[in-house]
Amino acid sequence: MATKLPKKDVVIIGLGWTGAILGNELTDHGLDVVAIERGPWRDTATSFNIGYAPDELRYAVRLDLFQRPAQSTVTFRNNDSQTALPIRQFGSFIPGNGVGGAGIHWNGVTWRFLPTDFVVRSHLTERYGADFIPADLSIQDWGITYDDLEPYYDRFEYLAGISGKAGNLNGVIQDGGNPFEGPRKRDYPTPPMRMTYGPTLFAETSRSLGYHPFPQPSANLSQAYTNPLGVTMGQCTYCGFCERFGCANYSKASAQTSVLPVLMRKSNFEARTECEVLKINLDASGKRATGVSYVDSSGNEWEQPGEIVLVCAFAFNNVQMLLHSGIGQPYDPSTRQGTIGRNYAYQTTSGLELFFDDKIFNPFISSGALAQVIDDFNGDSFDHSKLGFVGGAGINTGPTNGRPIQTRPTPTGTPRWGAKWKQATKQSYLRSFSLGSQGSSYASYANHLDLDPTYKDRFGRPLLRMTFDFPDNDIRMSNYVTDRIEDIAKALKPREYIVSRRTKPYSTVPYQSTHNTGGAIMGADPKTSVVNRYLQSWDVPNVFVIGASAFPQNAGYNPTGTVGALAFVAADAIITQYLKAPGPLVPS
Amino acid sequence: MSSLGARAVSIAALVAALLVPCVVRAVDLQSYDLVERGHYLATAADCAACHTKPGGKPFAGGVALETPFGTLVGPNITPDPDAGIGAWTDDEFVSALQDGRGRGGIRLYPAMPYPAYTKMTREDALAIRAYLRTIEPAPDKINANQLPFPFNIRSDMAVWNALNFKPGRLEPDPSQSAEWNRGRYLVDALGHCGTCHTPKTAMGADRDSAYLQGTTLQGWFAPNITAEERKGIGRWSMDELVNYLKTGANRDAIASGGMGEEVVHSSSHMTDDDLKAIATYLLSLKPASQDNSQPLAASDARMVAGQAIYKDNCAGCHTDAGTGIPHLFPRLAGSHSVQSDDPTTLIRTVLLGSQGAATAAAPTGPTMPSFAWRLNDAQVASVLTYIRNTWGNAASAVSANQVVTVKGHGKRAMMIDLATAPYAAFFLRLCLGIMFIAHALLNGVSTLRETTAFFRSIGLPGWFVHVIIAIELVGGACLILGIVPRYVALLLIPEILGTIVMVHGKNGWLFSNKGGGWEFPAFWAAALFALFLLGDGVLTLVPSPSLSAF
Repeated sequence: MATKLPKKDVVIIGLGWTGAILGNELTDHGLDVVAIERGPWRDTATSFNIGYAPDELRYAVRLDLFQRPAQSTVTFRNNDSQTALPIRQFGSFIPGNGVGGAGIHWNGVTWRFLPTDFVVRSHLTERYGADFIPADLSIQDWGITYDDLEPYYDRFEYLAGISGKAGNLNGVIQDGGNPFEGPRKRDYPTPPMRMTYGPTLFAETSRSLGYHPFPQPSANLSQAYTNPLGVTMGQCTYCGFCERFGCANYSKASAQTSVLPVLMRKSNFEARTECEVLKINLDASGKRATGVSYVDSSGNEWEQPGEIVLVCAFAFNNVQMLLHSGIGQPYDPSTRQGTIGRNYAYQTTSGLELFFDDKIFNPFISSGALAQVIDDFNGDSFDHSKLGFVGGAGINTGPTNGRPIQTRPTPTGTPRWGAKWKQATKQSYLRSFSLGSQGSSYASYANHLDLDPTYKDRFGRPLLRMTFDFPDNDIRMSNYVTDRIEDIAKALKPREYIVSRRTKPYSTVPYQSTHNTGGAIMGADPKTSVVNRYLQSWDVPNVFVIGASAFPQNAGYNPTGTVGALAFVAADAIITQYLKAPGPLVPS
Repeated sequence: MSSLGARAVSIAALVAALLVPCVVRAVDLQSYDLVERGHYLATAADCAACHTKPGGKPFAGGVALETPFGTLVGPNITPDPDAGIGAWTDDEFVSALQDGRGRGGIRLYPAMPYPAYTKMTREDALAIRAYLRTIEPAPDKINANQLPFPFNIRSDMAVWNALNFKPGRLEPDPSQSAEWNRGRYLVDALGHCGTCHTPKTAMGADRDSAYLQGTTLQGWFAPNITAEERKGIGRWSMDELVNYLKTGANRDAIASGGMGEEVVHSSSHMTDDDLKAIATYLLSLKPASQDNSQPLAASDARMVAGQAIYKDNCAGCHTDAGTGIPHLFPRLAGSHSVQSDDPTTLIRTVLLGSQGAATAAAPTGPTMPSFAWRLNDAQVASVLTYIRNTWGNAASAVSANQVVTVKGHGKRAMMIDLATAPYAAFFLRLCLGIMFIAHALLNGVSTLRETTAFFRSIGLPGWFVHVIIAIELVGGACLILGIVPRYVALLLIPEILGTIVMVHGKNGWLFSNKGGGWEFPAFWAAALFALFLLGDGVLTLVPSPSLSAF
């Protein structure tokens, strides 16, 4: 029997980037806020201190900081002709765990989407005609524009101290930045990272081919920085233990480095860790949330009433929460009715590994977001009319690390083990270098999230079922961009190179990306979206759902910059509009 | 004067005498001005440090203070009439602060820093009283005196006070500015900085000759806060010092430990003017003599080792150049904490880690993790020696012994070098074992007939010589091979003493006497006893069971 607790103004489900940002903004406004986090408390010095943080076996291979499938997993199938099975070992995507969420273990790549990304359907229709968009794609406009979002991107970038070079300042293209990006009001808060040899070589070569290389915007700070909250962050030391690891010297932006020192000191904020929210409780009308029910680590059930509920968990966990709470109508791909679970998307990646005899790359000097990128083939920044697909990808340099267990580059024909394998990796380790593409993942009517009919979690709730395969469009896009990478690779004149193209069917086994998006998408029309432009639920106005779950489709960029911006959008809307007049902020 | 006139004068005097207390009582004890002033003074005097438990009710007491003489617990000073000081008169309250005497004349221990508070004016003391009167009464009864006998006898303090304490207000120095005097008042009377920062005599009183030059307490070294350049705060500008007190951090340093608490509860709430006054005063305390410290050579083995350890463990945050990052990782180059004579804080920080103070102005609260699990005592000593003597720093080397002392909470001075002691025991075992075997062979085996005859001549049976030879051979072998050596050593003592009783005792003391005096076997027995006390040493075949097993 659940024990009912005293009411709070705001209940936040999940204390990662978005939970921390919203918690801080709303407590600043005087609200009484509790954040309920499923995972453990994490803090730099106690959880990933410099003495043992760079432990590849523990963190990169055994995934010490990540979610345990036994606690929560999803079932997966490529399409509805298959039966979904539970993922018992995360591979293709690895969800985070604990306070700080994925923001602890991320690489730190922080982008803004292109202006055209936010109005993708209307833009593509205008440019190429409605028939140009493949019929199986359910891509749609976001309901907000890049210009709406610009000030919020700025807030997130200055909160995190992002290191980069502006490419477009108030409409004026800047040398050394991304000429394709949307206009920004001011430059990044810290300058770009110092480039190592590989990215420098790539930049020179791609420039000679007529492309426009620029340093990747990075949350691994190029210099010490004190953000607007007064919190100081350190300077990245290029240690090469970024993704999958916590940063030991306060130089990779996260909730811990950027927000929590201020938030945790507030008397009107409380964090409860190792407490799993089971569902959002609704009143009899089903149109108002009364709070949440959760279970602590001893199995005790609690009811936490709240005036406002913010769903701030990882993208697909947000969707699962809505489904378990009976909020909104689940999406049915056969009828295309319903909205919860609709437009689930991912990231379409490919890679190319180059082997040299005459160049030393020192891959161990690196950082998660240290790269040069060309955006010439991203979004709709290039003419697609004769190409037969929509979408695009950023072409970037890797690798992000030279860690000894997993960095074992081998040229074609190398045996998979044994003396010759050792010899090859020894020879290639310093002399190999890779390129990659981070491509758009355009939503399709078939790809969706719903509740599994068979498998349940330890509370008896159905697991989330993921139905996904790459649309043919995205494969065509990826192949095209990969051809362009090959052009650059040839110009770099390696001894040889190996291309890894993206193929169907999508497999959950080899790691690709943890950029799962959609399922609780934002939009202008409640019939085709779950939340409005303020991330407010169309169905239950005192519930806001913030995260990459709001993306109607994924663009050719890492999602965190946009997720952070959306958190500020929601905070702003709650403070300046909702609190004054609780109710739907956009007429439905 | 006429008797009427005299009468008039006495009546006037009487009326005046009555009026004066009436005028004092006419002050509104709940006046906002008075209470606010008392609040500020109580903050400056940091009463909460000892009287408010973290997370506990304000001023309800309960904070344990570890003194060199034992534990004292800060009492309840809320206005509760039973558990707190509600029943005290104003005079009793002032007397507590200025004379170290509480209600009923009870003698306070100087853990309540009355030797400092005595310098406070009566007005300030009464203002603090007025503020404390507004605190919610708490019924918590605190057992303040937890000192062991004989220190728990409060009247002991009569002697201590007679020797060490002179009550009296602080007189302003007319040759100095008002700001300087205010600073001195804040430092000496209210902030009682000397209570932590001035070295103490054996009796626990301030050693005035080393005023504010730093001392060790509760496992930390509170550093020199005079204007000495290397070991004090002389390198800091006024602004840097004010920032440190106000926010807990400046460009170079971040407050932690006891000072972190001080900043959070006390100085971060003080006015800029007062902080500037403190800075003016402290920075005026120039050292008497020139500092001529020279750094250790970089080629010194400890420095070489220390540099490698620093690169692996420390440079990631504190940087190769020792500059750190302002407000995040303290600067080591030029740091007075690093160059303090006493390395207790440094050792403690490396072993246990440390969290910087967090204030609203500097909220980061960065934390250094513990390195005890991956650095042994010699490595901690080397890396600290390195940072104390690099980048222009110059200070004494740190030894592994000092690290061990801090690990043992400094409770006992380290009287033995644990690094070399096991080898000492082994060496002693070898020497003694070889001597036994040599004596058994030379004095027994090779001269068996003569020795047997000698034994008979002193009244021992002839076969006994074989017993002695066996004892010495087996005993010696056990010592050399390390077969329960410390107990074998103990058991061999009677045999040696036997030689004194039976033979050498009557030859006089000197070993060079005819027949050999008892000096030598006595020393041999002493060496065996010392070996027993010392322990097994390294390289044992059969280690001895622990002494505590008996």
